[in-house]
Amino acid sequence: MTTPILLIDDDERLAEMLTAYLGEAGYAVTAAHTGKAGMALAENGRWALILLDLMLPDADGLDLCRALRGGSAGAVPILMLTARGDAMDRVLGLEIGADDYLAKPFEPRELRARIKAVLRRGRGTEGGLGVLRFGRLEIDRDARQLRVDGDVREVTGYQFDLLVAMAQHSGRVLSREQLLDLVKGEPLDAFDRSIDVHVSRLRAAIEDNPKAPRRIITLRGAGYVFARKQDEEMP
Amino acid sequence: MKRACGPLADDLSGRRHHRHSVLRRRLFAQIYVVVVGSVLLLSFLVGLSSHFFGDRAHSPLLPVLAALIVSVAAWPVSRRLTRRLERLKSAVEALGEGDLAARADVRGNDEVATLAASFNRSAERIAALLAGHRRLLANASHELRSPLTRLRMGLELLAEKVTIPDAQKQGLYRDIRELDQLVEEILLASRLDTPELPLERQPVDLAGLLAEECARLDAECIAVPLEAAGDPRLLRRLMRNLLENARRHGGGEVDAELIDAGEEIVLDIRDRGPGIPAGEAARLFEPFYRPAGAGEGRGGWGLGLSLVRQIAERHGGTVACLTRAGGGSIFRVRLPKASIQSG
Repeated sequence: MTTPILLIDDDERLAEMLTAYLGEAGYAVTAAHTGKAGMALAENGRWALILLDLMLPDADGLDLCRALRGGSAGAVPILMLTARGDAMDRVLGLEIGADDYLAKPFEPRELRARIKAVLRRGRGTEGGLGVLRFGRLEIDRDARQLRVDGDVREVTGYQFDLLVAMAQHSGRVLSREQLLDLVKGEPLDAFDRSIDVHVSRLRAAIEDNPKAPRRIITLRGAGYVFARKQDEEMP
Repeated sequence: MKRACGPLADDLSGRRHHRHSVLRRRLFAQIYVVVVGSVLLLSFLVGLSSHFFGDRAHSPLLPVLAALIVSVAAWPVSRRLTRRLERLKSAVEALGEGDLAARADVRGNDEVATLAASFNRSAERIAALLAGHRRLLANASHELRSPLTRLRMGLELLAEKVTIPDAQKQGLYRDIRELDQLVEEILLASRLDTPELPLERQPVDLAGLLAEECARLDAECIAVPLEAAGDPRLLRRLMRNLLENARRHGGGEVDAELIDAGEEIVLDIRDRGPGIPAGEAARLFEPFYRPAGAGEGRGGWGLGLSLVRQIAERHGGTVACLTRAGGGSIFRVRLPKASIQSG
């Protein structure tokens, strides 16, 4: 059984390659080269996923994304493709209803992995707390589950709350006292270093190499930093 | 956005105002002296000629009297001319400071009006060039990356059909990544070179950012918690470029320190590499600069450090390469707290 994907991209040669490449992975790609044609196909077909380029000759990808969300294909997940790597656009892309975002030129394997991830998640996290994503790490606050590359990693409830608190303040230095304030519950003494023990358990669960952590970083004399950019080549 | 606020800015604008009024007075005095002087000279010549050619009816005091009248009459004339030049000058200055809509008032048909008109034509051209530049930036990213995406995709498809030795394949992947990065850097350099394209300004936890970038490259990090307003992406790139540069050219031992130095923030990236000869330290921050004797193979002689300088300067700061005691280099970035906070 093949999964139907609609590709809206004006680059015809790339569309051809993507059709072949994704075809081998079991996806049936239909390509549209203009926003208008893409919109018509989206409305009149059944799709598992829409791959949408941000820059189209006749339409702005962001507007199109908004229109798709409002139309009858509103429940189909959208993965945006774009040459713009700006963080601004990245946020914007997700705010207006795209489910994920990939900057050109992308690694073909990464595209395949993202498609898989988006399809697995599907749409409909609305109402819940949602999933915090940092590169390959997913913190699913509804299922209270940690995943790296889709594999579930086991931690205790307190450690999960600690990680959520850190993730919500990603990129900022948090002292042990601040962390204790953020994670209420288990009464801990800031001086007994038990927080360090929890951090090292978390590292064992989510770091590729817990000895050289990339996600939870120690800043000597100050506390911990949960990295904002993880598993990424460029800022 | 562009104008700083606070006591520093007040002081600046006060000084600027003072300088203006001095210039204005001097200009006025010059015009006045020229007008009055020429009339005086003329009337003196007339008086002299009448004295010698015997028209006794003229009193010798008459030229002096005429000069007095003329000097009073010249006052408003000089004043008017001064004002028009002054207006033209403020239009030129406004354009120089980035107000692209600034135009001079074209009135009358003397030299001042001609000058104003030709200034306006130049301003039009500059505005058109910048608009084109902005369009280029928006489209170049897309146009340059489309073929790169196809190249990357095509390579993947090809590798599935024929066997390409892994080393060669990885090399090709690396080349495509390098090209992509260069595109990104050139576009960013171009954007930073255009003061009319504003920077994003938001609170950035500099210590957190540095800790994250150091962890990425396994560099030692010493930092006090320090927050500043700036463009988080650009500040991250500044740190990353310096750290990558130290890793690439500065040997294995790299460390970074963030220091709160009162009025300013100091960021030091230190290495134990071969060091940079004093004469080349300043040129290091030029685009595509390559030290004498450095080969192509080592790579990384691109825009990295010149971007660091551009980013530091857009945040009102500086960057310098210093010699480190005991061998190696220190790259020191200084960012003023005040200008980061207000832009």
